[in-house]
Amino acid sequence: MSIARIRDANVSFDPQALAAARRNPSRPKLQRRAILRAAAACIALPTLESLLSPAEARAFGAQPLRWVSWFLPCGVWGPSWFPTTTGVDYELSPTLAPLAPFKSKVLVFAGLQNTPAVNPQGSHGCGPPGMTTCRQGQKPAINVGISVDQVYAQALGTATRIPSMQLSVVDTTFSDVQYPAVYNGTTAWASATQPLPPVISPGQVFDQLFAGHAAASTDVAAQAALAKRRALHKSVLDEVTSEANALMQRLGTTDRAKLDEYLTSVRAAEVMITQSGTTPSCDAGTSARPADKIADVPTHTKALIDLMVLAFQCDATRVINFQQANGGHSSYSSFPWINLNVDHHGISHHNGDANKGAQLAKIDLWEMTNFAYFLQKMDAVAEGNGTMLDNSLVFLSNELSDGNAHNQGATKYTNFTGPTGKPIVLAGSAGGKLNTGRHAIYNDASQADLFIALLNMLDVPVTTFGAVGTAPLTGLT
Amino acid sequence: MLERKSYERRSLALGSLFVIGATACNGYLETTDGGADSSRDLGAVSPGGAPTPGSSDAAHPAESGPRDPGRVTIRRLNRVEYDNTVRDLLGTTQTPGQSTFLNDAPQLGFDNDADLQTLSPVQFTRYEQAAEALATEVMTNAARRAQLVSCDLQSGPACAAKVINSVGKRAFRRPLTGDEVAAYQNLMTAAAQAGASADEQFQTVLEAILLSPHFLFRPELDPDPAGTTPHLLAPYEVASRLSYAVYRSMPDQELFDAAEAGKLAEPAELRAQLERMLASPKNAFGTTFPAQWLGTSGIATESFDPELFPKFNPSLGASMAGEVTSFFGDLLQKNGPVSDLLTAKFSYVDASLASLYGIPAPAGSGLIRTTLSTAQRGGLLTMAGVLSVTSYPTRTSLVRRGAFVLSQLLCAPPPAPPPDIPAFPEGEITATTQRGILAQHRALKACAACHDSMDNIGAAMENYDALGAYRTEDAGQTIDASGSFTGAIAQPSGGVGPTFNGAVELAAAVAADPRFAPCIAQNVLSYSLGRSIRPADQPYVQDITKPASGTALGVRDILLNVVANDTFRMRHGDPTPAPGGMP
Repeated sequence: MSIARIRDANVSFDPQALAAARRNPSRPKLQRRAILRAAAACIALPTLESLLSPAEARAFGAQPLRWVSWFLPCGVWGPSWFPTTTGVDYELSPTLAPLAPFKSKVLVFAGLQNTPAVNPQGSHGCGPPGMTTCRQGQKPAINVGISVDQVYAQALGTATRIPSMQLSVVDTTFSDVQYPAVYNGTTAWASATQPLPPVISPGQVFDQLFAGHAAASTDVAAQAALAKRRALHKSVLDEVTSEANALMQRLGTTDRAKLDEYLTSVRAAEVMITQSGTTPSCDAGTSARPADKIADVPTHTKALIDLMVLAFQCDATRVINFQQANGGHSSYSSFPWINLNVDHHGISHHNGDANKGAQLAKIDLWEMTNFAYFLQKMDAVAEGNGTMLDNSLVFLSNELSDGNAHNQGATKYTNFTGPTGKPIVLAGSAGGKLNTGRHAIYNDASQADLFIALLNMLDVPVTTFGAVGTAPLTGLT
Repeated sequence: MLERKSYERRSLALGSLFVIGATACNGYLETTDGGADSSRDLGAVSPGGAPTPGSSDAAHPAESGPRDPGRVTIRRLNRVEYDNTVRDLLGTTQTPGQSTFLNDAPQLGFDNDADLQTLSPVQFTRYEQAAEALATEVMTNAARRAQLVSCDLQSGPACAAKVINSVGKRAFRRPLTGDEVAAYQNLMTAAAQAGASADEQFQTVLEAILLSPHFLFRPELDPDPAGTTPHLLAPYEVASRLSYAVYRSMPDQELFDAAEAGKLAEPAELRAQLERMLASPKNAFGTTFPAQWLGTSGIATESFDPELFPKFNPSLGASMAGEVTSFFGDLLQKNGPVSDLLTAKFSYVDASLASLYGIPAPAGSGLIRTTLSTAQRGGLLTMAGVLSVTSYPTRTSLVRRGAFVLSQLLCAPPPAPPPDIPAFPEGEITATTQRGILAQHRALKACAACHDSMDNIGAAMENYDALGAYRTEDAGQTIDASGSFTGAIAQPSGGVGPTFNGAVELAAAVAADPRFAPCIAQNVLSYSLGRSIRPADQPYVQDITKPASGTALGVRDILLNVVANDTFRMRHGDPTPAPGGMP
C-alpha cells in the first residue's frame, strides 16, 4: 500500500501502518500479476473467466477488490425510495425494486447523514464532491478534500495501469453562488485542490482502456513498432519532466502547485507506459469501440456501464466514479425515454406535492434501473468462487437527501412514517466482508464513518475521514 | 418550498448571482475573504474590489501607499487557446482542445482564470494524444512539413538546431536557451539510437515541445520568485499577454519582431500593437469578452418550455448570442461611448430576431446592423440574449435580472442568501404576477434587505418575456414596469435613487451610474490578465476609465487603457509561503 504518499487533511491513517508504509513504500502485492503470468499471454476479454477456473483463481489468492462511487443528482423522493420494513426480510421499496435480483448482495441504509456537506448556498454546485469527500467545498479558490475513491486508488498506487477512472453522462457544469464550476461536475478528488473531472465520451473511455495496446497482436512487426513508439514516448516524458523540474525552481509557491499537477500527470503517464510495456494488456475482444458522442441518454449510460465492467475485467483499474449526471441543474431537463417531460432539478423542488414526488420517483426508478444493469453485468462475471460484484464495493448515493429540503440527513414527508436519511445503497461485499442483504437502520450515523469502515474492508487503515468521521461505522460485518 | 423559492439557475457562465431566489438576505456588502488577491466574484469582480459604495468619489479615489500591480498565476492554455495556438504554430485544422480536452470552462465568468485552472492525469493523456496526432500530421503532410522544416534533417546537427530554434521559439513564445536546444538535440540522438529515422527523431522533438510546460503553460518569471517588488515584464511575456488577450492565441510575427527589438516596454507601443491587432481577423476579444461577461455564450443550448415558448430553437439562440457580440464588436471597433452599450438605437438583427422583436426583417441574410425604430429596444438590456439568460425555462425572473444588472453592470453583486432560510408556508403567496409574488415575499424583513435592490430593478424589465419578446401583460394583468434603485445594494447611500419606467429608462439610469464604467473596466482587466480583481486594483481601474481622447469614454478606450496599464505591463513574485508541516 502506498498510503505513505497520501497527505490530505481529509483523511488520516493508523500511525503504525503509516510508519510501516513509509519505511517500505514499495508497491503493493499484485496478485493480478500472478494471475496474468499464469494466463501466460494476452487476454481477450470474453475469455478471461474461461482462462482461470475458480479453483485456479483461488490458488493465486484473493481477487482484486474494486470500488465504485455512483453519483445521482437532485435528491430522491423518500416515500418511494426508503423501504418501510427492516432487517434481512425487508421488502424492497418501489424505487429500489430493480435491485430484486441482487437483493442478497445489496445493503440499503436508513438513518445515515452527511451533514458536513450541507451547503444551503451551493448544494448543487458542491454536491458531487460533498458526496465523496464528506466535506463542503470552499471558495473562491478550489479547496475541498481527497475523495473516498481516491484514498483507495492512491493506496493501491500502481497496482493497475490506470489508477482510477471517472465517467459522467453529462458534460455541463455550472458555478453555484461563486463556487468554481469544477465542483459541480467532479466526484473524484485526488487532493483538496486536484479535481479529476470525468470523461464523457464512451469512445474516449474505450481509447483510455485499449488504445495503443496491441499486446494481443501476434504481428512481430507491429509489436516492434509499438515497442519503439513506447521507447520514444518515454524519452519525451523524461525530457518534459526535466524541463518542468528546472522551471519549478524559478517559480513562486502558487505556480509551483500548478506545475506539480503537471508533474503528477506526467508520472501517471509514465506508469501507463511502463505497465503496458511489461505486462500483457487486455484487448477489446469482441467489443467494438463505441461512438465518441451518443445523443440518447440511456444508450450513452449503458455504453459507459459496459466499459466500466470491461475495465474491471481487464483489471485496467480498480476504482471508478460514475456520475449519472452532474449536480443540480446539470442534470436532464426532460426524460423522453420514460415519457416524462419535466426538468429534473425543477421537479426535485416538489414542495411536498405527492404528484410531483411521483414524477421524481419515476426519475429515481430509471436511475436505479441503470444501477441494476451495472450490478447484473458485474454479477455475471465469475471470479474465484464468486462474482466480480462480490469482489467489489459499489457505493451509490446522491448529492442530497431530499431535493426540496436540500438536506443531507433525515427528511419528513407527509403520509410517510418509515425511516429516511441520506439515500445510500451498497452493493458487493469486498470479498465477503460486508454483510449484505439487509435494510440497515442507523440513528443519524455519519456517512464519513461508513467510508472509514469500507476503506478498512479494502485494507486501507484509515482512522478518520471527512470533516467528522472519527471511527468505523459498526454493524457492517 | 415553493418553486419560486429557488436557489438555482440552469445556465452556465453567470451562475452564482442568480441563485438568490425568494430568500432572506443579510450581511450585504460584507466580504468574507479578507480581500486577498484570490478573491473572485461574479463576472470576475470581487465585492471587495468594487468601489466602496457611498464613500466614493469615483474620479478621486483615496490612495495611500505605493501601488501594487499584483501577480498572475501561471496560465495554462485553455481549450480554445490550445486550438488557436496549434493552428497558428503548425497550420493545422485539427481542434483537439475543443473536441477531446476535458471541460475546463466555464469557470465563473471568464474561462482563462489561472487560479481556477486544474490539470488532471486524464487531461494529460489528451495532451499526449493531441501531440502525437499533430506531430504526425506535420511530418507526413508535405506542405506542413515544408513550413516548419526548411533544411535537410539528414544533413546533420546544424539543420536540426536551426529547425529546433525556429519551431521552439514560436511554441514557447520566446527564444530557446542553448541548454534547451541541446536537450532537444540529445533527444534526437536518443531517438536515433532507438532506431528512429531523421524525420521520426524530429517528430519526437515536436511531441516533446507540444507536451512541454513551456508550451502548455505561459510562465512569467520574476527576478525573485517570492519578492513583492514590481518589475516590468520581459518583452516576450508582454507579447504573449497581448496576444492571448486579443487573439486567444500565440503572438504573430509583428509581436515577435517587436519583442525581439525590445519594443514592448512603452505604453504607446502597446497601444499601437493593440490597434493593429483589433483590426486583424484573428481578433477574438470582441466576441469572447462580451459573451463571457454577459453569460450569453451558451444560449443556443438552453432549453425553454416548448409549449410556452415555441419560437425558441438553437438557431434563434445562436442569433441571440450573435446580436450581443456583433453589437459589442461594433462599439469596440468604432470606439463608441460605453453608455451606448445600454442606450444605442441600433443593433444587429436577422429575420428570426426581428420576428421576436416585432420589427421589420432586415434585407439580407445573417445579422444586419439595423437602426431601431421601436421605442421598446435599445442597448444590451433589451436584447433577447440578455433577457433570456436571466430567465427560467418557463418564466421571467425579476430576481435574476435585477441581480444581473447589479453584478455584471454595476459590480455590486448581491451577497448569497444566508443559511437556514425558512420555506414559505403553503398558501402564503397569493399573488400571481412575478412582480406581485416578489412584493409579498419582500414583506419578510430578512429578504427585503437584498430583494428591495434586485426586484425593483428586475421589475422594470417585466415587459420582456423569458425569451425577450415584448409583452404588456403577466398572468392576465397589465404589467407595471416601474422601478428604482432602492435598498442597500443598488442605493448604498440610502433612500431611493433614480426611478424609471421600463427597461429603456432603466438602461439610461445604469449608464449614468458612476459604477458602470469602472465595472466594465474591471471586467476587461480581469479577462485581459486572467485573474480576479483585488481591492488593490482600484486605483488602476480608475485610470482605465479615463478617456483616451475627448470627453466620452469609449469601449475601445477601455481595452487600450488596460494594455497600457501597469497591471498589464508589470508584476511581482509570489510571497505566499510554501506549504509545510507535513512530515
